[in-house]
Amino acid sequence: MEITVRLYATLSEHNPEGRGNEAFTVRLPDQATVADLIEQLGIDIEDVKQVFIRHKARPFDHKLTDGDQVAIFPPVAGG
Amino acid sequence: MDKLVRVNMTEKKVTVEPLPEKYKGKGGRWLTSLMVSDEVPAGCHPLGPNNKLVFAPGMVSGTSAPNSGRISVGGKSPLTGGIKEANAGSPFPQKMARMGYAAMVVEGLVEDGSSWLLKLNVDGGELVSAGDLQGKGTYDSAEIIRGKYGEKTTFVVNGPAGEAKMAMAGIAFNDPEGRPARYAGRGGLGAVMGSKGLKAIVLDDTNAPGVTPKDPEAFKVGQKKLAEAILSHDVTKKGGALNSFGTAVLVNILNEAGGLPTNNFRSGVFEGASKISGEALAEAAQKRGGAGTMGHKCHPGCIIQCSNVYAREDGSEHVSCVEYESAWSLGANLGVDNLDHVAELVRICNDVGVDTIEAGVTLGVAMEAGLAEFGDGPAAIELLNELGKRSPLGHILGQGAQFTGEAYGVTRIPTVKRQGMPAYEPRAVKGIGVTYITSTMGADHTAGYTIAPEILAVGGKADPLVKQDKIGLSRAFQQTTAFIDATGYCLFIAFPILDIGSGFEGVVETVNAMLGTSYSGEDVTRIGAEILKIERDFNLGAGIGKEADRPPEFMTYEKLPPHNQVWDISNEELDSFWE
Repeated sequence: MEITVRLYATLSEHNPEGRGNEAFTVRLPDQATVADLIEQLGIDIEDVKQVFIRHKARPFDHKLTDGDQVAIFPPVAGG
Repeated sequence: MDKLVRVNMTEKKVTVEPLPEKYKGKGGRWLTSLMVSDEVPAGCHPLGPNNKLVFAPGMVSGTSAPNSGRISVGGKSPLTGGIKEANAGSPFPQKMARMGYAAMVVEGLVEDGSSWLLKLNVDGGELVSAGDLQGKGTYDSAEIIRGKYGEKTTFVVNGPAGEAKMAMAGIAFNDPEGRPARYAGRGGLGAVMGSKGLKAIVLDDTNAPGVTPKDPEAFKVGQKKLAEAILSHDVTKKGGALNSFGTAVLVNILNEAGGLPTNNFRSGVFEGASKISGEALAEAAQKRGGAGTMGHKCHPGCIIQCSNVYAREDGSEHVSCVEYESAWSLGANLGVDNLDHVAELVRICNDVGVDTIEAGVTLGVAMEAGLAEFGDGPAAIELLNELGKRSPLGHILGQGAQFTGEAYGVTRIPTVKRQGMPAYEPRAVKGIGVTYITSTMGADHTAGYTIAPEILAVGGKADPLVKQDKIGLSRAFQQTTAFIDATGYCLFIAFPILDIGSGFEGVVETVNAMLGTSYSGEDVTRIGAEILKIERDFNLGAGIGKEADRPPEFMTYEKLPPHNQVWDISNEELDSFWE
């Protein structure tokens, strides 16, 4: 399957195209989870706080589906 | 901090008195709300002779505790008609506390339209003519003040919007470099200051006695616990999210959660979000160089340093600071995705002296009314400039979102108790909606920041789209917040202390060591509840009861994309907040 990924804040340095927050495409085997995606991107899962898929927060064991738009965040806060 | 200074604007008299017993051991919001409740008739006109403006540093302000440079300003709000506490981070409260002042009360008003500057010293001080500052923007005023009283002068200044008694006017405190950039912004307290004829305050701390905790050793222990929590938590540590990207690091996560209000609360997603985000600010600071800075602090002793200085393309300073709230209100909320336009809008707000949230929400309503197109940054700048011109349109806009919407027949006005909503969509984040609706302050995110568990997974996790248990969640946050607002600590210490128990202990221990009290963790919520009750009772006296604890009607029937949710917490459930 093919999904679209955006990496934010300090994680954006892992953008494979070196383009910060901009979206990129990732191919994954069927049944892959959020954790599999994070591993494939070479990101330490300890550095990830929140993952949003189609505007909803999802856990690391959430199974991805073709066409998902995934946003990955380190711990962030503000006000 | 055992003195109270009264500034009588009618008689031009400054008097110092011992702090009355009932106010001892209180600070910040606790003290301002209590004094306003005691001394201001709830039914008075906010701009008349009977309203008062109370300034109070927090309980530990002036000490070496980290992030303790907050000041509360209180009074009856010309925007909401209820009680108001707005707070800011600045060197001002640190110096005011070290001068021995627990509070300053500005009362009465000048009747001849003249403008005055208060020179406050340890013995009280004097009011001198501010004719040279009258009508001037805060930047020019600050330059004159620094020229006259020294580059390092600590001051407060009111902008032309406050002098013109506009209900969105805030009060500017200086930052460590002398910019008039740290605002007690919300609720129109600048208009109250303007109504009194007080343009500015400068501090002369010669012979200041300083601040000494009752138990200095215990204070050090608590201080260390808090500092360690701040410096080890991922969002507040050096190089963490706040320090690296500022508060605007929230733009992208709220957008991805579908909760970033866009085009006057028509959608929870903004296509241009990443262009106005904290990441974009950091990139601009790096690429443009010059004055551009992330990791700027609003007061000495801040170890989070979430402020910033935004530079123009040529590296010259444009404005400090572009906060999340401002990037949203003057960006996404207007459909504007150009940071230079956002920065210019923030600069105008700072110069004319208005709250960036209320200004942005008002411009969103003005765009809704057809005064400009969504997405048109230059048109937004032109509209905002009307305030400084004091044109009829400027006076309408200057009264805020509710007034502007009423003037133009707009039905989609995102306000509660006539105060504009901040940067989180209540239909997509239900807990913060409860805070907006039930807060004594009108729509105010800082009153009970449930975004922490609902969006950021800080202090636990809660589903933002689910309405269950949100009344209790908001109540708990509002109580704890009221206590933090009394301490003088920056509210952002809440992130580490929610997750790190020893940090919370450090807060309680520093307060106890400072005051000689023996408060427990439970006392934090008890005192917070007491503060909220003082404020609620004032509002009831002003005719603001449960009928005002209501959402804007359009949010109950208009589905918000992308989650297609309406506001679905009933009025009965909202009423249970105070039961």
